[in-house]
Amino acid sequence: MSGAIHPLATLGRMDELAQGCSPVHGLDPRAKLGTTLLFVLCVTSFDAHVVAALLPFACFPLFVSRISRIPPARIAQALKPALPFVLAMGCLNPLLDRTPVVLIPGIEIAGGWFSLTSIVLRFGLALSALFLLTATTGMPALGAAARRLGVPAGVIAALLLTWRAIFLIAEEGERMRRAHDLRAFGVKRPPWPVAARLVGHLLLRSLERAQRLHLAMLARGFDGTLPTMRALRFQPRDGLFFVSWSALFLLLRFEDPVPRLGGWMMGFIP
Amino acid sequence: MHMSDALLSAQVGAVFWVVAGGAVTLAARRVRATSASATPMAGVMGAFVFAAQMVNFTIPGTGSSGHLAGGMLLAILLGPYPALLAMTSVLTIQALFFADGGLLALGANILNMGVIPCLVLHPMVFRPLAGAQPVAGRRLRIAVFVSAWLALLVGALGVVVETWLSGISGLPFTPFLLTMGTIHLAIGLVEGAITVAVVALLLKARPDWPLSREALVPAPHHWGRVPVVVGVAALLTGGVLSWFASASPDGLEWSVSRLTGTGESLEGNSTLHQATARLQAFIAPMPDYAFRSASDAPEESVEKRWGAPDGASSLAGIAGGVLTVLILGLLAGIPQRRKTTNDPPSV
Repeated sequence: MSGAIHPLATLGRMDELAQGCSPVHGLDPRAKLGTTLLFVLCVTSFDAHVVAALLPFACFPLFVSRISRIPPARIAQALKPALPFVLAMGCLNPLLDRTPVVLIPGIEIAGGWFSLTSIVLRFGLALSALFLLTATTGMPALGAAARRLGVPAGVIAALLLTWRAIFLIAEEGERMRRAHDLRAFGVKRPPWPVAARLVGHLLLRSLERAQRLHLAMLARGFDGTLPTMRALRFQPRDGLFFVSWSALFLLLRFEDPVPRLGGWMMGFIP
Repeated sequence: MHMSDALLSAQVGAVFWVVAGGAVTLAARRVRATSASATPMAGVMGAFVFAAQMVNFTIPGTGSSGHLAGGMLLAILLGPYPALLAMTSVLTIQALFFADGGLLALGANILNMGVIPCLVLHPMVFRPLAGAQPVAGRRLRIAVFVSAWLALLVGALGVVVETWLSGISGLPFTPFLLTMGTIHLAIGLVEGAITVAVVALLLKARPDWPLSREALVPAPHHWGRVPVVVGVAALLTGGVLSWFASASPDGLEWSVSRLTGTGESLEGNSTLHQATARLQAFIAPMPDYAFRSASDAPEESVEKRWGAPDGASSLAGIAGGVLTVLILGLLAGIPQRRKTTNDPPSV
């Protein structure tokens, strides 16, 4: 039953991280969102077999994790549950793509290993950057940033209301699940008819809650958008953060320095 | 069933972003125009789907576990547009907080699990089957079952198509399609059964619940130019980004497609890559060779087969990779500066 509380606990812990105080936490969320988006685009736009050129991109998550004092172990922990699916999609590559590649003279491996490694690297890079964005910004600030960047107000309102309501409704679901677990004599997962009834009752409770909330909001003049008290101010340091990282990403994307570095290093080997 | 950033190429991801973004914008506009106050309902119901996915059930006969996808259930209960807003919220929160999918894959995921059930299958399958004024009964049960089952199946096939278009995972299209199709055929049966049971329970408890929400497309002018704008934007994004992706200097990448020495792999070999490559010939400000001539040294390494026995160039790649990891490792290993006392507490 210890795993039962997991999703809510995760959300709570992420909220706590976002309350932290560091130079990264203090940046304008728009700068962080834009930088992360460009980072993900650069990482994912490489060809399928590229491995070496992806490695230098790790400097961004490592830098942010260092400055924001969010240890890499936390990131790894957060990414772990999503890894099996990615591995399942990539694990056949070494079998499917058997193009022999000379690794060092005398040793050949199948080309598919490169694409598998590339998939794992892409996963680690793209999702650790996203994790750090969320963990240093928090949901309300991300919503405000997305709103200012042109996402329709209705979408943001739904997103932020879902975010608020998750804590209410998921606790309700958690209670029902615990009630089931205590009465099920060790049966871990309910068979589907029982699951359907659990979901159905959760739905009834959620609907009633939604209607009460809805009426209460209407009584207070709700018009479909959530006004925010937060004033975003884009300061020079935000611009500096965005521009300098973007320049580095584009440089790494188009001027791959790794083989040059390797060639330079091999110049020292007699 | 979440598509992941790791398997999606930037071009494909961006095209799906634009398409999903257009659909969600349309939904937000429609909700605002018809019932702005439906947003709290969408929010709470999004939270409901999130919580309902915590109820894992056993899939009969397999012993593995699954959970409700919920897109069609929401579309039936709330109407297509608020349902799409709710699904978008859930998928965004899952991407941000649970590493389900990712930032780039969000568009593809909204399309698979939100747009397809809410804006495609609800009007095209559920409505015709259930009739204009659905009432509890056999006909409604069949309509709910079929549409929920199809929603899951088509969403899973969306994952296959997106993976194939991206060409990152080497899975061949037809066997992958058949495998995913067969698995989700079975999971979809459970999804359908649960959705039927939930709707039946709701109608028993709340017989007054309005299932006959607004029809999707009452008049053509409501859509306006949205599909055209979205289509053009999607093509432009794909074209511009494929230019961005294929314009990198050749020969320095540690790329196996080049190792084989075949010319076609330079531009990627999937259909979308070819289509966007043709498009980019029209719109790219600089043709491909403009970039290549900027760095003339790598030119010859394209000619050379990388699989040649000397292996010197891939050795440089390995050496460079090891050095990069070492440098980053050393930088990351520098002990953190101790916090000064007047630093506010951090968690």
